Amino acid sequence: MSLLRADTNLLDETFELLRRCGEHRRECVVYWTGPADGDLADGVQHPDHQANALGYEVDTRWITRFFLELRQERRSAKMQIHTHPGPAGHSETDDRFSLVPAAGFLSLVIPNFAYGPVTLNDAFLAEMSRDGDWTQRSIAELELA
Amino acid sequence: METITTTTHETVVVTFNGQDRTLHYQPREQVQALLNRALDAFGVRDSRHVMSLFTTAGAELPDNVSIEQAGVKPGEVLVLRQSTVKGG
Repeated sequence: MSLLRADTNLLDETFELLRRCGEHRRECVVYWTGPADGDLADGVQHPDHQANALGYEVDTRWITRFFLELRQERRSAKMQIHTHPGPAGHSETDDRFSLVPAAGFLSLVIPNFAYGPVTLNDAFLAEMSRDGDWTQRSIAELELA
Repeated sequence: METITTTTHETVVVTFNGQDRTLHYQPREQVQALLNRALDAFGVRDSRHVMSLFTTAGAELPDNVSIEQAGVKPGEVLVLRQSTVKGG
């Protein structure tokens, strides 16, 4: 059973957004969204944010608007995806300040500002457990077809 | 003369990542108490100290005043979210 299902076109769109926004010199973040119930992701949201080579911060007003939009559309954020300048991993800041610090939320980190091939081979995936800890998961648990 | 004490219970709708919970509150209890119930209702175990309740207009409710003083009205929709969302 997969953690999340998505079309590969969503991955293509995500890499395009991360590259265009980050310009190979800044981190960037997007959120995959889908129907509130279930494990399908069929949309990507690119938040208002500030970023540099070492991190990003999402605009506070955007977060409130986003959550109200999700409520209205009966959708939810399934996974946050952000870039790192070098190898992928989950920093302490990533651990503490995610969009959705609740069980089942996924966090995917893509290395090299997403300028490598459009694959997740070198990406890092973590899931928040019921205890509130981030647990590394296998990329193979994402079902991209 | 008999003194009758009444406790008023109202409700608000708290939304978090697209899902709603209707929560009871007493107007004179602290916002922090409602926040704790909201965090429990959504199963938030991590980063609780950096989570807050916001109005739909985006104003963060102070934790240390009563719900009544914070201006919350019965039936109002409140947004549960991190005060800061960032990564690096």
